[in-house]
Amino acid sequence: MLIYEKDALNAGISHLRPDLNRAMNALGTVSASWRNSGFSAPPGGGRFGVGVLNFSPGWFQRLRDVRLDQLSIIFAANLVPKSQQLKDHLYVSTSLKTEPAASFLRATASVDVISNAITALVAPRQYDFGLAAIERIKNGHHLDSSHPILDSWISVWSGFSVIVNRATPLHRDLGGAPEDFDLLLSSGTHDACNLDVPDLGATLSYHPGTAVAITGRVLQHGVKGWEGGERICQARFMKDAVHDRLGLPKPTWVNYDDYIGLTSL
Amino acid sequence: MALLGVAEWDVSRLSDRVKNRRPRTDADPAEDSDLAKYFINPELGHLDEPCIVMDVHRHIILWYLPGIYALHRVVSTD
Repeated sequence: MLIYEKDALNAGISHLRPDLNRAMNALGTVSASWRNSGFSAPPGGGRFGVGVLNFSPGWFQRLRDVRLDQLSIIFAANLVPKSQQLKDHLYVSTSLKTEPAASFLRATASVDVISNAITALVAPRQYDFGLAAIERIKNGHHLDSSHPILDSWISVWSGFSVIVNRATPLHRDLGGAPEDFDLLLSSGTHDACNLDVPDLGATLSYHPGTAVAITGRVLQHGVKGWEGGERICQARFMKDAVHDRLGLPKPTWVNYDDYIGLTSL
Repeated sequence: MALLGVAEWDVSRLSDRVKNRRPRTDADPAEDSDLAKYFINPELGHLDEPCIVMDVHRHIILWYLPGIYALHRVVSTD
């Protein structure tokens, strides 16, 4: 049986559906940010449901990482996350420390393998620093507390978001260095969709199985909607603050000439 | 079929100018109008074939890889 990566991702989402539902239910109790709005549930909830979940093996604890069902309590206590400092510990994201998340990682391991390979080709230095960061998180003393799920984390990325059946307004992503790429994977079952990148005057056809490596801190990007079926996006990101915390430098810009040079060897 | 798109600005300088703020839904945000004075965007149009986009100094700022996860089978099981 042949298993394609986008199909693996689609299958993996089934493991996450209860957590997606819980997250969406919790959103009804708090004021949602733009990252948690724009959902379009298919009739009957569809195959994948709706929602957003974020996963990371090591990042700075932040408000959105707290269990969504605790948000109302936190708002009531007027708790505001403080600025992160180099001495602060990193945390395994709460969403990753669940059995559904472990099942998802196992089901989508082939997606991680391909994504790592793409990263090594399109952004070699970023790949190197990403790999070093994950190794330091797994082997070092940077985490507040470790977790067995880290053994299943094979990606070189700081984390990823799973976005299900949501339109995304034009935005730039804050977390990465300007030189960093984000790796976006379009999946799901939709028939038509475009990724808009107005800084380039471009609309990219965004069928399931498509990858876009984009310098997302600099270039605005967004998805107005889609036609037919359901839409999933897995967005991989590297957190510049996490790499800084781990003593890693920023990558330099990827240059076209580096590739032209390869062809002349 | 587009294989290579080029923006005639310096991505480092654009990076210094963009403000990362909450997305706005209005059609012509003030920030974009301000940026347009200094950065003339390319008009690459609709893309559906693999391509890369680079800035004026040949820094690659986007890789577009349609169908890459479907074309490359990596797992074969019973």
